[in-house]
Amino acid sequence: MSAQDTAARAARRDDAIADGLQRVREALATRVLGKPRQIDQALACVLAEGHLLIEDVPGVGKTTLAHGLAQALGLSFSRVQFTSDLLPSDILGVSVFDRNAADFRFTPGPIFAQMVLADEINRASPRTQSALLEAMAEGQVTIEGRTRDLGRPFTVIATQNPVDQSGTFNLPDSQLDRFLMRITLGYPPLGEEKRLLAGRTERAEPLAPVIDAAVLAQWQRAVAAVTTRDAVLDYLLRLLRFSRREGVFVQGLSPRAGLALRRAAQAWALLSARDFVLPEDVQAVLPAVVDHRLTATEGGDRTPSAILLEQVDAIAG
Amino acid sequence: MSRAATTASWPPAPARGQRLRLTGCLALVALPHLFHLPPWVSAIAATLLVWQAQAAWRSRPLPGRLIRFALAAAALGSVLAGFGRISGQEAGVSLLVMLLALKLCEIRSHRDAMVFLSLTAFLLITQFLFSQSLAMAVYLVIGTWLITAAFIDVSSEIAPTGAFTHSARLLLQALPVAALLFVLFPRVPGPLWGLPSDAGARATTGLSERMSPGSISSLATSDAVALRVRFPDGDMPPAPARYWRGPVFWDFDDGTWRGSPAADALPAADIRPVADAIVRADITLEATRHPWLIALDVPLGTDHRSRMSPGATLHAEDDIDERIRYHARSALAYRLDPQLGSAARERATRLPAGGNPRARATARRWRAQADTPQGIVDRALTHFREHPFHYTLSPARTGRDSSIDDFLFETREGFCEHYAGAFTFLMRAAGVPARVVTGYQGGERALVGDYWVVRNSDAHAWSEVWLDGRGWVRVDPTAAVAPGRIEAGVAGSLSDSQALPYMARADDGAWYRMQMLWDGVNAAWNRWFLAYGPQQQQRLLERIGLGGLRGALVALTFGVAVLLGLLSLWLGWRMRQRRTADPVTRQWQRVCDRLAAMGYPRARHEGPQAYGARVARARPDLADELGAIVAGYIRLCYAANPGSADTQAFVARAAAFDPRRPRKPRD
Repeated sequence: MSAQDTAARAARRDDAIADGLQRVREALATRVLGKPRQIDQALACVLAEGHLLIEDVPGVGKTTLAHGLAQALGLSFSRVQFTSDLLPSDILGVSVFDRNAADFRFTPGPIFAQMVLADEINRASPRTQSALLEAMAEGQVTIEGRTRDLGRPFTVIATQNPVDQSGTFNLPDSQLDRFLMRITLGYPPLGEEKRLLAGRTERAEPLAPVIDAAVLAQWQRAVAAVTTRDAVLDYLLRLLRFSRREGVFVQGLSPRAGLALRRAAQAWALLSARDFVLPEDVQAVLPAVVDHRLTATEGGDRTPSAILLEQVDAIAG
Repeated sequence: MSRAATTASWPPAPARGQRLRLTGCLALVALPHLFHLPPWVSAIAATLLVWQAQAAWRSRPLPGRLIRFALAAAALGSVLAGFGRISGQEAGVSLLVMLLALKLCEIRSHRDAMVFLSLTAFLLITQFLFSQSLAMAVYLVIGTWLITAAFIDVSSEIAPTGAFTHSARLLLQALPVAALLFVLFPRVPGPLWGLPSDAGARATTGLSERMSPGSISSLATSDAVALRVRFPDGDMPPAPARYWRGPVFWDFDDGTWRGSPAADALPAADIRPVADAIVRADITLEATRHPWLIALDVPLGTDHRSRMSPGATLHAEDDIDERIRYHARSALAYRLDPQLGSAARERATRLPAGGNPRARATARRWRAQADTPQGIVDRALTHFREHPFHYTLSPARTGRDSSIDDFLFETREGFCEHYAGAFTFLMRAAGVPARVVTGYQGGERALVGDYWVVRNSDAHAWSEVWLDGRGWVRVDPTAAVAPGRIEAGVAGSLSDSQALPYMARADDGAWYRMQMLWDGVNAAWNRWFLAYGPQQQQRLLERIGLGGLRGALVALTFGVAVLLGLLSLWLGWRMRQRRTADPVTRQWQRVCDRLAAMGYPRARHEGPQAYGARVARARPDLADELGAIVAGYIRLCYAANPGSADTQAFVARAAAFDPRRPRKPRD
């Protein structure tokens, strides 16, 4: 096969991905109204094989987004409503004695799905939270001494209500680091909300899957293959170094955060139908990736990502 | 530095720690200034510094442009109002301190911090305008260390503690160069630190150009060093010969003795030294703001440019505004003016028309009784000895017009100026030519170092009478009243020596010894460092065998300086060159520069695509061309496998890009 053929095939494949992504976007847009940016962020998060934290007040469409994502991407979906008496086994599953087989039979918990919605994660006890977070980090769970693989793709979408704080256990910073992105949805724009109230939406029927898990895995591989040249790596490095400067943030970005930022930027590039990363891609995902990982020591109301964005040169020179 | 400096700069307000450290740095550097600047300046500067420190501590945001402008204008206005100018030593330093304290709330970038620190370093140097003592030198070294550490701190990611170590290492490395430059760099004649414009503003206690009751006793309360002296050939002459000659006063009026300028119309003193009574002395004189060069009585000449006054005082050409060193020769045995001109005789016997009738009558009586002028002198000294005169720092007050009468016949209390003044008056009233000489009497040996210290408290006044065949003869009426004054110094002869400052008292406790020790260290500092001028340099070079090479050394020093300058220029050029060695980067930079010149600078956070899109929105006529350039640049910098053809195409396109060229408006 000649180089030209390879290039042509790659171009065809890229076109197919771009086309597929566009269709997923459009499908989701019929469910989550007026939030194209959040849809893109959530998609980028899934494409980057990361887990998503949605922080918002109830009723703005967190579940709709998660459910829609699972449907459009053709993923198996399960939902766990976190409460203070939820136990790790409620998530992971238990072994039950089967009288017919005269043996213990493992009943998998809701974690065994391709997309898991962990609703109001901060309501559960730290023990239950950490069971989930370990599963997120490892991609596998250990139950009664046996390690079970969770399969791929595996995405956890957790939601948190930032207002209702009584009786909750906020995720510690170290756990927040395990979420690739944190986004907020916010209220829908005026026109969209009117459409919603008028009932002129097709929210009732489930979304027809646009792709399936196999295609998603292929897309995820394509994300990992998006070119990141030195110019961008240096920009990432400058961001990381700046975040670790004394006195700017309580604590700087970890190497894991750096990897997350790179992968998210790759996903964003793919969403922009590009096979290489630009500084603009990094900047597009910067708020979602770093704002929950950093706490500014000063700077008033400005978010950590705004400080980073403003203070770090996008182009060396 | 081995670590790469980050291109990222600070958040709008520098990090809290950094801000605190910069504030602390300025506070430490400015601290000595706060003690000698006018109190209102110190108060303003201290307030500003405290305010800045507090703002940094609480991480308060930097004040807005309007506030900063108003504060700077207020600082400028206050200096103008307080000093009437913004240049000059005190006004300039005051302005610098205040503006630097304000600059603290303006530091946003690395560049701002560098400017701030450079100015702080300059402020540090200005300390030498006010004090050149050893303690200050030590303080300056610490300050230099701090500032260098601060430079490192703002320019790198080394931890603050590491910056101190690094700074110390840098300074130690610079030390040999500094020492070499100190020794070899051509010395400029004259004071390096003196700003003559302000020199008169600071009052210095010392001998004055007039003498009235109380003028010398007020000096006695100051134990400041007036001069230090070394005797290269031997030792200090014995106590009775330790008269240090200062200004001579010829004219008496209103109870005050003056050395009026008219006295200069008289011929210079004619001194005939006795050959084996000549003493050589190396004298370090503190600044006096007067031209007199103090030397042992009677001075013959110095190696400093000077002339001999009619009163046999050495006058330098200018006022002594800085500590100076000179070599003086004096004759302990001499004949001074063997012939007295008629003008000088007239001046030396002139008295005001009226006043002090009792003294005049007494003098006339003595003249009638005595056969010779010497007899009159003896009669007067006998008078002082036999009547209950008191030698005291705090005599009873006398009337202005009758000061001599009151002192001689009523209060009988006085310090040396009373005795010398009254004695000279009596001599003149009796027709004997007489004049008042002021200077110092005494001196103490230093504890360390082979030198003697003469203090302000050693200030003294005595008389000279002109006797036929002997010339001017020194007569010290104070010695007739308090013989101990000459032998044991002022402390041993005063009835109220508690009024004297500590160092002038006859006491050699631990504190005294410590002070003298410190004085020794300071004297060495003065001698070896501050006084190192062109002559000393020449002497040193000769001693190490490089005397003939002075010219060559000067040339070498300048050569090395020029070479270092060229080297730093070359390094800077090369760094720039390296940064733009890549043609793609260079052309991109050029495009950005040209757009910036058109009013569209790239914001630092803008990526190439965002920048291109923004400019295209503002200038649709440029959109196509710029779009192609940006796309080319993005491809070259960010995409996988760009080809060399891409590079050539981009470079050609970018090089041809000229946003100023008029374009057809797009439809």
